[in-house]
Amino acid sequence: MADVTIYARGGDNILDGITPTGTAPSSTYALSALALMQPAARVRWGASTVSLVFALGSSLRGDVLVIPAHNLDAGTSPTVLTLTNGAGLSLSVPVPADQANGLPATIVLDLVEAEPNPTTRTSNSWTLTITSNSVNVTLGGAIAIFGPQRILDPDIRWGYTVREEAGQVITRNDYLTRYVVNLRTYERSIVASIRTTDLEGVRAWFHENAAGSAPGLLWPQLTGLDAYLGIWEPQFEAVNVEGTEYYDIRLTFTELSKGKPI
Amino acid sequence: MALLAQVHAQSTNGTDATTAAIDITGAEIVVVFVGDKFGASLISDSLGNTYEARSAYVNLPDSGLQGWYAIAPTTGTAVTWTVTGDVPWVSVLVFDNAGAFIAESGASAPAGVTNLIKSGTITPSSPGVLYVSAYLNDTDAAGVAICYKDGNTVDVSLPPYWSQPPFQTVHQHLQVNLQHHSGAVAYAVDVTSDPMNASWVIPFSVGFPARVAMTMAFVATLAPVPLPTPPAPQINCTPQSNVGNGGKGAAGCNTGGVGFVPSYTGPWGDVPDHDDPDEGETLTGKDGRGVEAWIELNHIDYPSGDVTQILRAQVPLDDPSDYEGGYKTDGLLAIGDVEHSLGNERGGFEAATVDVQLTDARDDTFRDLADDQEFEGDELFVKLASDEARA
Repeated sequence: MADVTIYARGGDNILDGITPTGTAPSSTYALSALALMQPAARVRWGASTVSLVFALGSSLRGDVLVIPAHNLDAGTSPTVLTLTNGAGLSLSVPVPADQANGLPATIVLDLVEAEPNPTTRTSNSWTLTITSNSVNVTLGGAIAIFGPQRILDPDIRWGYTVREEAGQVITRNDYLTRYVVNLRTYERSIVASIRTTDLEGVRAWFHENAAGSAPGLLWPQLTGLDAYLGIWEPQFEAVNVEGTEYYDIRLTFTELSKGKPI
Repeated sequence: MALLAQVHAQSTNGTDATTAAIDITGAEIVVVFVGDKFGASLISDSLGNTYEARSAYVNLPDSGLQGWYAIAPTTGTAVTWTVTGDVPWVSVLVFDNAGAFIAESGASAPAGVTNLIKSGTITPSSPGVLYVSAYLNDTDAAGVAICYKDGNTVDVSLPPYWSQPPFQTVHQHLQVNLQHHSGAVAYAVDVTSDPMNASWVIPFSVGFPARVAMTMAFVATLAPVPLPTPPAPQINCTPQSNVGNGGKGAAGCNTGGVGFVPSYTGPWGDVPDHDDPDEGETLTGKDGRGVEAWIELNHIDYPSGDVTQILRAQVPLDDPSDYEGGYKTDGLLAIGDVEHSLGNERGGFEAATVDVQLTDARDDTFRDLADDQEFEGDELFVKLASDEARA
């Protein structure tokens, strides 16, 4: 579903806490890191073809796939990444090109649009297959499939701020000379004001973020903005618009760091 | 420096004299004066010590004086001295302080001129000097000769008037076997380095006989001057009463190790000999690029002794598995200064120290270990490498 802002609460992740099975990573790495929901963590394989199977306790519907950190080859179709499930879903997942700073852009796929049949998107077994990547595979410690899909209404796309901060060590002396060490990490955030009557729904999004420990999703679907797997800043403020049922909610959503370039 | 013992003797046979036995335990310097008619004498003691002969001062025909000394002699509890000469007398003075001979002076004066003789000025180069002086004249009696420091006024009103500080006369040799060479011996300890001219005077009318005088000077080892007691600290020093082995209590409340009793008296052992570390990477061509720091903690499990390597970096480092332990998760917050010491205040060896700040929020690794393990004695490495070196 294009042209809408999609979001997800932390509790929407059907892969939450599930350590996949499949291709064993290199020694000193563990598949359990993929369940940490920490994009900066890493799992590294000594192979370019990797298969990961997430076995759920029950069949759950998945609507949005998110993989923030990876070193997969960019492409649209077919790609090196395939998502399948036990209900017959089989999708080639587009992989965006890296950002100019060397960090990967987030892989995100609207499964509702790619496979409209909700029955096909409902399964207790989900498999990610990476085939013949150009280099041995490394993934960040966060793979999420959110469901159900949530649409932010009204949209935030008219009037918002995109912020990025680069990780660096900077020393500026009395002559205003700067000595900079580039730590090669970035943090991105979106600041927006939402005017909505759905105070309860937005506040639940904030609450399920669990003070930042259960990251959710914010995906404006605009050119130049990929999906953010991140957290609310810990302050929630909703200001009632006088004489109406609307609230102006200040949203500051910060993407979890992807760590250093892979 | 103090006089430990003294003994004196006169010849009864005209050729030699032997002293009574005295205890010279603790003696460091033995000074001997021999007076006779011609000043040529020989001495020996019952322990066989060797004596250094100083000059003989002679005023013929009947006045001769010679000094001898021995530094750090063999000591005993019953030591005698024997001298040979022409109707000799001998005075032996024993002192307790190690030192060294530095100078002598001597003089002779003809009869009929004056009742005063000065042995001559000695100027020491350092303070703390022992002066031993002797006098001999050609009369039947020394006439209670007085030794005094030239420049001082002789005061005969204070008994015994023959001791004029700093000099103390220890013996007067009156007429010796009917011969005319009576004498006297005195000593002084001067804590200064002022010049000294030991002078002898006969204050009463015994005529102006021919006479000789001689002084020997020895430098003494001064006792250390104690430092003043430090000012009392402006704090409550109650903890000082608990100080039993140093290093405890508020600053200024103990006296700097006084009372420290080593609890270990065995060998210190050997300092481990480590190979030099391997050469690290160079930073040439890596301007403006950071290096990643991480710690490697090798925890030794108790009681199994198994070693578990724990790696923590400031950002996860996806290193190859064969590079420095492979994957390093985050959790390292800061690394402080690494300090190496040559030794502690007691000369013991000290380990290098470093402060490392970690967060355990990710996986509780350290808190879980702390349930039944100690980290004391574990090995900690601090390592750094650039991204290029880690790739």
